[in-house]
Amino acid sequence: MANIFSIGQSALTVAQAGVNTAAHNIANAATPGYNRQTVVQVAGQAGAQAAATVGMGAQVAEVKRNYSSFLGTQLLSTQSQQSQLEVQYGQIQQIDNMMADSSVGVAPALQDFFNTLQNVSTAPADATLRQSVLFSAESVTTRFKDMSNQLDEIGQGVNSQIESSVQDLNSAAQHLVGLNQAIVNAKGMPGSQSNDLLDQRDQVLRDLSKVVKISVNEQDDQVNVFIGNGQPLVTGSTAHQFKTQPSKTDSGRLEVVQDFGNQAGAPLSSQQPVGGALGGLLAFRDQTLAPAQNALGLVAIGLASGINAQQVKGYDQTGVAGKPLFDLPPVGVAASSSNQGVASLGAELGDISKLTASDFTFRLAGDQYQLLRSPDQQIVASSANADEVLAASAEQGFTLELSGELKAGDSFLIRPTAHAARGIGVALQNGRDLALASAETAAAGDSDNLRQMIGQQNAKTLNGGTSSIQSAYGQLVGRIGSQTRELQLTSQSASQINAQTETALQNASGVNLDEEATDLMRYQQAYQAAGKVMQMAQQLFSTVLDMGR
Amino acid sequence: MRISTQNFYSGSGARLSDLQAKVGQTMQQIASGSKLLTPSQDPAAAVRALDVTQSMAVREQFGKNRESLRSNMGLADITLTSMQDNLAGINEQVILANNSTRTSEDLASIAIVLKGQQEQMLGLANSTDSSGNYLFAGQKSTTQPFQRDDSGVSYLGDDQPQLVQVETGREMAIREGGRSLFPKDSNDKDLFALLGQTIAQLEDGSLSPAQRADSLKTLSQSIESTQVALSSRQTAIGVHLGELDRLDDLSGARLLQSTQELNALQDLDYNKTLSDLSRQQLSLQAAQKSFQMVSSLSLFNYLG
Repeated sequence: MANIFSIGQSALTVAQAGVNTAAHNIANAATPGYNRQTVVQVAGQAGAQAAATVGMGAQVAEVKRNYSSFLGTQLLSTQSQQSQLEVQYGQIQQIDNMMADSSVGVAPALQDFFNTLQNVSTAPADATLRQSVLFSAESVTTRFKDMSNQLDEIGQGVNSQIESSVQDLNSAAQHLVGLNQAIVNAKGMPGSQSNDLLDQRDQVLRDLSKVVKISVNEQDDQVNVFIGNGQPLVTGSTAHQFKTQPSKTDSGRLEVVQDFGNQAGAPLSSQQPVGGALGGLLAFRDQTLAPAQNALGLVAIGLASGINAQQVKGYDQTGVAGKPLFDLPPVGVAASSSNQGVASLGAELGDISKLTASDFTFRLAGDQYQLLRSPDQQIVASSANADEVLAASAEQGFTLELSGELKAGDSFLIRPTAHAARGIGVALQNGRDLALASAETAAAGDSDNLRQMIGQQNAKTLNGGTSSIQSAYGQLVGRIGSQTRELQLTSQSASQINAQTETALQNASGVNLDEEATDLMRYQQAYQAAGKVMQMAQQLFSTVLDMGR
Repeated sequence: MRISTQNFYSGSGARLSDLQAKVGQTMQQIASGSKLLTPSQDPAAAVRALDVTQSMAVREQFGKNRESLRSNMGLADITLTSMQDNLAGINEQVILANNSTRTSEDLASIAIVLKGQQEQMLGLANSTDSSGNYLFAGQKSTTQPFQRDDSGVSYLGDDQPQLVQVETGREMAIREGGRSLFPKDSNDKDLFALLGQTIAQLEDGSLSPAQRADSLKTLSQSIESTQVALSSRQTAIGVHLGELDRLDDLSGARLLQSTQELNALQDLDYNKTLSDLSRQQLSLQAAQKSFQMVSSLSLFNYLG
């Protein structure tokens, strides 16, 4: 007789667990990363006392977390990919928008400059026309500087986003360590529930995969997380911190390194599979921003070198040999702050038709001097003889001069074009100083040299003699346009793939409220039925008691 | 198939924002009148638009250069015509003087008229253009080309034409030297020198009628050769002005072509874009409506 009470009781418990679980699911329908839980119930063990075995009711075997680890892992990867491309696309759009207004770019200012030269050709002795050349030269340099400053500002934005990504990385690592510990503890205690902790940990991993591409393996209920080329972020209950530091050769550029306390590891590079927002930022900086700044510099160098070279061939209004019209900043050379040797390196522009938008590294690797091209790290020249490598720079449009000895591991960063757009200026003050004439004793209206200067507008002086100043600028605009377009398409498709994976995962393990409503009704009925069983047991028991009266 | 309720909402939300973004971009295009809002929308067209804009600007600048040339050439032409008139006046005086019955008073008054005409000729030869540069000084455009000295009038300009680009690969002189306007005779004397000599002779009346006739003959030969020189310069100017007109026509046709190309690259097709907009609006409205309908379907509505 007592059996029926305990069977009824077990049915009530199971139904209650069902209603509670459905309620928990409903409560968490909108919780990010929540996986639907279901009650797994089993029949109670049969009693042994009766000849015919009667069941002992039901019991809850477990509350199961509906989770597909296959889809979960896939989602980590699609999320990194999507996040990287989305960040890259978002960044490049800034440059795309900057280039959008053709009336304020470099092109119309360049055009104006050559137009004022043309105007002077109608009256080369006219002081007002001569002065107007200097004004338009001033305005073309201002356009270069403005654009360059805008690119620099985008670079500063990249730096601060890298910093916040690294903070996200570090706090996720701490969070994961805490969850690893909590999950181990929960599994150690009988009857305790680790489902919600697992959900939380999966969600932290998922959020982390937006910041950086991660590889995860699970060991003894704890997850280990690695990034980049296998740099550890979390191993069991240890979080490995990362930090940002200025590049050793370019203080305006933040790098991400593993923080080993007194010393730092090698920086994460866009050549590694960094992925996520951080990978997107590194890739944008190396593949778009720096090349754009350099390409703009190349156009500025093309203008300044072409006009200056012509200017020094001519004579000004007072019969003095011409001086450069434009100032160009020196070629950027930076010694690595960790250099051990005492060497110093000087660089100057050479044949500008050989210049590209690349940066270079000169270094001593072992006993080999090397000239490397950035960002693809292609070795341009390598030799045990430093002079041979230095001479190879001429083929890249600049010349190097080394003094002092390098020690193995020492390096220099050479940026031939990077600073030109930012630093271009007008050197002449007076229209008189324009060297429009071809000879010292020329007539006031001699414009032979002026007409050579005008010819610089369409002279193919850049990119191996295939591009004029204007077309080199057009190529920059075209490259940004097509890179942006490509990123728009790839980020759209990555976003669709990610959404599909997320939908698949959600459909497998997310909460469907109609389903929960059904469960609620089902367990409500089960609860009512169990109640009836108790009521009937009560009546049966009364019957027995009444028999005794 | 199971559908996660959360995912239904977030998915529908994402689709609605996509549709809204499309409507927004179309509206931006309509507001700006340009289909190329950023280079990424059509990179090849953006680069082409830069090229076309540049070549149009260069062409327009050539047009301005041609205007400057035309104005200077017109001025030179008018000046040369005045010089021709002046020359005809000098010739009249020469014919008047070349008569054996002239008294010394007659000759003295002819000398006065000739003096005035010589001054006028010198002034015309030293004409300047609107920028204050001398018309007939070649590249020495700021030096007064014809200056009086002991031997008469010397040419201080040069013979270098001052060239201006009027079209790709075509330059034309905006100013030329004036030396050739006053050819010299076999005794290395030009119009000014011979005029000066004749005026002096007429003033002092030292020559016999026969000697005077010889001297006036030499002068009229110089007048004739000067007239030929002025005419040939005017003919050259006429040819150049004609070429400038043809270049203008050509350039106008090419500018029109470039403008059409630029319009095709940049300008919005309003009919197409407006119909795109109404289609996008329709699909956004449909998506909103269906979201509203589907999201109101819930079993919980029936649990009481």
